[in-house]
Amino acid sequence: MCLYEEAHGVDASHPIFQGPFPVTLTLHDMATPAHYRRHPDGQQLGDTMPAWNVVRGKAGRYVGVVADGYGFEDSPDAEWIASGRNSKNARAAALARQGNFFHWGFAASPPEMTDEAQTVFLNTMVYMRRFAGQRPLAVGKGRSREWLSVYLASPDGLSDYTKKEMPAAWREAAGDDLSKLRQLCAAELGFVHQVDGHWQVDADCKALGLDNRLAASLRACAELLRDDTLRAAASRVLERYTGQHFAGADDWQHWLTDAGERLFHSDVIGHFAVAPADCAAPHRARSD
Amino acid sequence: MRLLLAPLLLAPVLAAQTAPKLELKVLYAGVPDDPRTEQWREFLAPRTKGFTVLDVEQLGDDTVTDADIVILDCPDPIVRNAAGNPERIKVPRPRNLTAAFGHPTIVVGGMALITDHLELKSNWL
Repeated sequence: MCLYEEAHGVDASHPIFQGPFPVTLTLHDMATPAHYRRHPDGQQLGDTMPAWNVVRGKAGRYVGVVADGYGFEDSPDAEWIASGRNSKNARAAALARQGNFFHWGFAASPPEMTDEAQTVFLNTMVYMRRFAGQRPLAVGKGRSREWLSVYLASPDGLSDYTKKEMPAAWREAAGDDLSKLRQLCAAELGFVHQVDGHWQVDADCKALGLDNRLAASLRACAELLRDDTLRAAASRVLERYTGQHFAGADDWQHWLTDAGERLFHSDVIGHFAVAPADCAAPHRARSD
Repeated sequence: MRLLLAPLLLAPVLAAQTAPKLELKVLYAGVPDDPRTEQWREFLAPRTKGFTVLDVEQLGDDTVTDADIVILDCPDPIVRNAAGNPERIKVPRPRNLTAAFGHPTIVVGGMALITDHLELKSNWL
């Protein structure tokens, strides 16, 4: 239990802030929690962050819950909408959706909510109605590989836990040299995958120079099947990350073409999957 | 787009007496005898087409409901000792809820422990 009164990092372009009931979020400057800076995406934060009060006054004993924000949007069923002042990190999700489930992490009951939060809750009910019959797609125990970067960014250095989390190949190459481990992480994060619950470097992806999170890498592998010297590695990558088995390059091309934009990779499941055709396109925060 | 509001009033504060009624039926799955349930009823019943309460421990994939939205909620799940210090977490468990549950569902506060057990991304960090 770790989420308090205020939301921050709010994606105000999300439909729950657009209507049907109009709402103008009243923002204030919130002192940036010191522990946010222990994480990579917290180190660039200023002294204050724009925040929106969800809870009227101070949160009572019953505080809220944040979800793991790292990798949250690596599948098309998921939308990260806002964080909130919490004891974990600046990326933790306070408002988020996966499939037909909406995470309203704030624990306040309606009379404890601000008027604006009540309005947004009503908007959220209207928004969620459209997801009737849709299910979460990325369901599993896997954690985002982004956590490897988080562990290595810790100002406390290399803990025993961090050592255990690192891929064996990185530990063999860098030992306890934190700087070298960070370099390896920056260079090879796209090649790692989980094997029996442990992160490992996928030698095939590394040899081919292909990021195993990208659908473009699968399409490149389908082309490489026509190359006698690279066919074996490309075939292993295709099968490992899709669970599919086809006779040759043409069949793979057809399957990948059929999957099209619905193909996605999630660290939660550790491989690619194809979203159903009726999966609603997720809202993504505008970058401008 | 289906009209969800009748009539749409552009008031910044949605007082219960003047709020437009949403064309939504709500199933509130919580702890019926807890004061929170009445607070949610007072908030949502005047603003929606229907507000029904279900003991959250009776909720399952096979729950028959015509509700458009399900709200999963619970009182403070932190069990405290006599000194007021946290001792353990006790969240009411739906008897048969899986990730295949197809109703639009808003999971409030501590009920994230349930979606955590379902191995959804909206977990309890």
